[in-house]
Amino acid sequence: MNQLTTIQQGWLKLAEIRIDLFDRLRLDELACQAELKDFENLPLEKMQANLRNVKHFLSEAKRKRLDFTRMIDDKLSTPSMEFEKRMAAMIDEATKLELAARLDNESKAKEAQLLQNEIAQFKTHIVNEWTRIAHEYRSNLQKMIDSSYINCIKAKNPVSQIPAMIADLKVILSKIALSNFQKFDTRLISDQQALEIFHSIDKYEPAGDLQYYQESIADKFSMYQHDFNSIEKLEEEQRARVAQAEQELQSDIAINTLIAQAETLIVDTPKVKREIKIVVVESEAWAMAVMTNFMKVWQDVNYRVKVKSWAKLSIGQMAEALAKHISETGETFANLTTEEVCK
Amino acid sequence: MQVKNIQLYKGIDFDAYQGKEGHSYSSIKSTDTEPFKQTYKMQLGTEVHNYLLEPYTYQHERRELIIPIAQAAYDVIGQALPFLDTELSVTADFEHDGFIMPYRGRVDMVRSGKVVVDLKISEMPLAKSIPYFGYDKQLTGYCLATMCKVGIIIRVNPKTRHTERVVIKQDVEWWEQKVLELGIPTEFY
Repeated sequence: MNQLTTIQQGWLKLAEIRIDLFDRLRLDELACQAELKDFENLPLEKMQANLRNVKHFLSEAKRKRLDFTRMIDDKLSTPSMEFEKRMAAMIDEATKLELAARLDNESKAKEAQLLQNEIAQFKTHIVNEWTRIAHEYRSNLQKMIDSSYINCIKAKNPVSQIPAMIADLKVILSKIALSNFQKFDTRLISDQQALEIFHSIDKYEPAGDLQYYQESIADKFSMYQHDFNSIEKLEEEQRARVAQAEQELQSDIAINTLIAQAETLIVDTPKVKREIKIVVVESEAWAMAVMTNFMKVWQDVNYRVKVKSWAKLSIGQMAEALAKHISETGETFANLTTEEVCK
Repeated sequence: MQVKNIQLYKGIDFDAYQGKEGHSYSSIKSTDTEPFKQTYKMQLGTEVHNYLLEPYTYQHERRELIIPIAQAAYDVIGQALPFLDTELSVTADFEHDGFIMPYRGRVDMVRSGKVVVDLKISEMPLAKSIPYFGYDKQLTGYCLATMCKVGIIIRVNPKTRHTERVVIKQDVEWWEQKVLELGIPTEFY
């Protein structure tokens, strides 16, 4: 037979100790049974003496068992748990680093989202500005035609002058300039990027509209002779056209803004869970503060407490329920300090 | 794909719309033989739609639940809402490669020729629900029938009232395929 190693001998010895312990515990149990045999028929003094004896046997059994299990704890359980403790410490450290990285990424993602939001606002501004400029330009062309037309009628210019009036009006229309493009104050977008965005959006080209309105002058003046006698109706029509153009501008701007907002790029933000916790202060005053506030908002917090038995509700659980209440409602309690915990 | 014979119907109720001829996205996708039953969540969505888009049909039920959700949607759409037609029914003929298919759709909000806006009340993020339910195809149908270049989905989470919005990528090919599957040759139409 091979020679046993020291460790193998140790295990063998432990098995012997265990067998020996169980034998001795069994003897204690038998002694206990003997003392309690026919117990109800014993005289009272004997009853009391025997009861003292069995309690002594019990405490002895417990002491022997503890001697044995303590030895196992000291030699086996405690040293083996050290591995877990060291691993838990390492994981704890790594978790902190991971959280820090996630918070860093979240912060960068928020910055990136702010930039994307500004880009979207800038694009909306450009589209809406071109829309406004185009509307204003068309409106100015139409107003000029309508006003000139009405003025010609009011001045009773003869029908024979229509070709001259049309020719003059075409020149006048060609002199109407586009209104200025309103500036957008960029905070995060670089000048280079702003320029690229500006050029990426179709600009308003007025040439087509100018040609259309110049051509429409002849149509307008085709009714000149007929409109000589209905100047008030003409002015009313002009006012209605201006109001309609204004509403169309408002509508286009609102729709453009809705589209641009929907097109805003959403930056993927890492998930960082934030919880409010009540800072624990090991004092009677703190415990009183938790209990008092818990009672004060009982109606709002009782459903947040999960206990199998109300008799076992602890102050710690009350504090947790209050913390959840604070997280959701933002309510503050003067005598309790809170902290935000990121997970 | 060509879209012809577009008919817009303002102010007709859902039953009248159902009576219109044509294939809708829902009717194409539906394989159910059982009568349609609205779930609780669908009912919630309908009530929010009614409150926001057809207030005269809202039955004033579950106000504490409906109003905050509708408010969240209004916060997104608000300024554009007065300029959009709501609950607009539309029929059209979709024509492709010698085949023609009648189409019908009921659009939440639309500015014809410009934008279609569809409101979804759902806890599921759009990144999941669009491919799962085919919302991109549904909105493509609306866009084709109303000559809109842009289709937007706005989602409100009924629990958190969080909103999100996306411009959908139009899937015209899907409709072309359906015209070939469900349509009839143009010469017989």
